[in-house]
Amino acid sequence: MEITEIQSGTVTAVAVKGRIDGATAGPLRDRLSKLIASGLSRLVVDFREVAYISSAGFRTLLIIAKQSEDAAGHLALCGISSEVRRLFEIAAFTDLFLILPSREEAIAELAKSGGS
Amino acid sequence: MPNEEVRIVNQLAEIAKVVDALDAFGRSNGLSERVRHDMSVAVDEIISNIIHHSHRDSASHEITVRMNLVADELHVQIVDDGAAFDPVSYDAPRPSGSVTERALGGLGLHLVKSLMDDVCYYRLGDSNHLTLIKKTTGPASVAGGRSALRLSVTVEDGISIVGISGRFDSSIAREIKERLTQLIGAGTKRILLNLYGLEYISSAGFWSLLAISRELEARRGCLVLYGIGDEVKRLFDVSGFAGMFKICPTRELGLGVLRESAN
Repeated sequence: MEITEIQSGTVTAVAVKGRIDGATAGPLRDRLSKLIASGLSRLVVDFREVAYISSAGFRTLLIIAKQSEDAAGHLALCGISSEVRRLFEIAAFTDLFLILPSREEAIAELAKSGGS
Repeated sequence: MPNEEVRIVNQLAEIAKVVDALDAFGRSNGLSERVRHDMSVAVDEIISNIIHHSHRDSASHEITVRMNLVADELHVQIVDDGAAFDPVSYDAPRPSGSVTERALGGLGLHLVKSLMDDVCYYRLGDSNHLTLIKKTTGPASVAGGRSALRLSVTVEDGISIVGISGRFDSSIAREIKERLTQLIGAGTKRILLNLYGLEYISSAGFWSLLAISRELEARRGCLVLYGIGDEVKRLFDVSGFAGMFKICPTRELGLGVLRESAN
């Protein structure tokens, strides 16, 4: 798994490439936690190049969502493929997140949101 | 029949090796992206579970993954020597709740059961044997279309090990016979039938096994049965079929007989 950060105004996009599995979910969580802790409160996680996400990955997303809430931040997901979308549906995770089709739309949406 | 085996040790970083091998196996056999994707997630979940929960010591343990294409199904068997755990009978809760109230226990197995067409488990000696089954053809795999009988196939040293569990009666005898005949048609000469999970076998079941046995013998092959429980043994005895099959008490002895038969 590879993680790339792209700053776009007040929004930080995090592009994830590869598998979010039992081995990579931990490093992804640490990376995203660090961003939230450092005060970056508008995060977009770009799934465009995610091959799949396992339950460990869903656990990471949930933890990050809680941390983001606690920090009064804003979190969005984007670029979710139809295969990965099915996993979100089976896990009943679609309603827990703001999900937008593209990174550009997600960044535009979070840039509008209130707060810092 | 295409098949491949991968062995890893119980460390999370090893999961990628299995998923890479699975993906390559799926691609070289023309499996759809969906089949490869869903099987990857299921295998990932099962192996993660084994690594997190199966072993009570800190020693290194081997996990064996066998991939087999059986007719129109992809079978992936995962064997580990950890504590007994049957994911099939584990009742995974349906995920629900908001971000703050969401509990994630059992989500992995919920994914596995939702993505797979069938999951078979048996405990053999000190090992867990779990087989994940995904149909490779279209969306024809509908829930509810499953029979009460389950069949799984793995290959070891050129010997096809076929697990049959559930009720083996006239409603399913023909299908089983067809599936085994397909295996033989694909070149299998030695079949070891694992009947640990068998609950019942009717005369139609016996006759279909006998037909398979004769088919194999005609091709200088051999059928060996093992793992017959007391109840099923009684059916073999009462029906008079016991004497018509080669029956071994253990898997190892069964494999031994089949290896001998090849010489």
